[in-house]
Amino acid sequence: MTTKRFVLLAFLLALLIICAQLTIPILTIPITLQSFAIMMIGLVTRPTEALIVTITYVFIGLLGFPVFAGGSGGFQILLSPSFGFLMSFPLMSVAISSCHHQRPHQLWLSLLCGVAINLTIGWLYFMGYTWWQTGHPVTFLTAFQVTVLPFLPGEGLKLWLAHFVYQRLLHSVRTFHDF
Amino acid sequence: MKDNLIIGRYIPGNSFIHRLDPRFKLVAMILFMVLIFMASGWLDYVILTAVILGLIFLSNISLGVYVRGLKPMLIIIVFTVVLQLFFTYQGDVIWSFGPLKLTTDGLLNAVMIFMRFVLVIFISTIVTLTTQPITLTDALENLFSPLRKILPVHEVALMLSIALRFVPTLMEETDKIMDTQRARGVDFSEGNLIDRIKAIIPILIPLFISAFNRAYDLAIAMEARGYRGSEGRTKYRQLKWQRRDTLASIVLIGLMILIIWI
Repeated sequence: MTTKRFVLLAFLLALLIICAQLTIPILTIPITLQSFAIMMIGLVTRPTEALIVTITYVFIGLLGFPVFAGGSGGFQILLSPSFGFLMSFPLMSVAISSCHHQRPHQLWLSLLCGVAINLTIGWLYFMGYTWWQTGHPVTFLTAFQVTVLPFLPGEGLKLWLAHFVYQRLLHSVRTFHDF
Repeated sequence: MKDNLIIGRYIPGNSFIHRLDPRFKLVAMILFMVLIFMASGWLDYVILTAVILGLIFLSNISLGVYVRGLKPMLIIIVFTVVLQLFFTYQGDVIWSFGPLKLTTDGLLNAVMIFMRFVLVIFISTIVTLTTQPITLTDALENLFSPLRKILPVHEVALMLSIALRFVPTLMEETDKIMDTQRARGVDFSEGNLIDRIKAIIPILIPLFISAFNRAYDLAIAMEARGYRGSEGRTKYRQLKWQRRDTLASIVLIGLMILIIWI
């Protein structure tokens, strides 16, 4: 990998950290742009690069850098029922990146693939988490209602947002293709 | 916007904890996590609590700062504790209401999980409050250097250094973009969901374009100054192991033996 590629990855990591702090203040569930940034990283980079950025992000967040949503961070995130979503980011970004490279013109398909992975892993992790905590399993449907259903509208919006922003970036004077 | 998102976590000082080698602090933090998860009796928790409170005292930073560090995790702590309290079905039932059962085991588990959360957050906060992010990055690169053959350790460390350096800059850029758009009539705090999504686009697109431009300029500047990769480079910032680090290591090993032995 060249210097330019790594500098691009550095700035994408910085953008991810910043987007995690940006929220769209809606009354009920605040929507952060964290997963939007993951989608953008998947679209802009190659699979290996996406993996490096997202693993580094999750890793430094666990070490205590305040880079997760709301300025949180630290190993206690591992004890969180929603850690599955963070854990899925490397896989999510690699999936989007791979799909996008194989089918450059099917942007929606790539993004949907990533979102599906994100929500599925969050869903399964939540089930495992509640099982571990209480000693008995929770049903698929209950976990689905807690971890997937409330996030579908927000993820849909971020999916559209990523699609829109990516298309616009393609027409800017200097794009990620220059690296 | 949090202008000091990264820089602001660190609180300057000259305490014993501040002056410890960051490599030791990182490894010690991991080992403390392991100890906290290994702890199984109340005596283990008493000892760990005492030690961590001692470290907090040594750091010369007010306990209030650490307690405020719990705030982002409050919802998760409450959720998990409630889960423990009312959905653990072992032990004697103290109170019940439908599927909810308050049991003795649930009560004990709730206290234990709460202590785990607090101790883990505190030990993590001690490290981030007393160590500069750039120093932590140096420590990470050094600790991962044995993996240099199979992983791009130097490049990732460089990536991290650049990212941490530019987060405040891009944050400032975000504020600037928002102010510019406000001056032209965009309202970020009113309207329905669709309006708010539309309002965020004028922030994101300029922000990404600005970041890509900066990235390109920086890469060119680095190459112009002779950067050609990780081979053959020297280090300006050096980490030096001191006697106090050895002393702290001995104390940590003693603590580990004590916890395991009890």
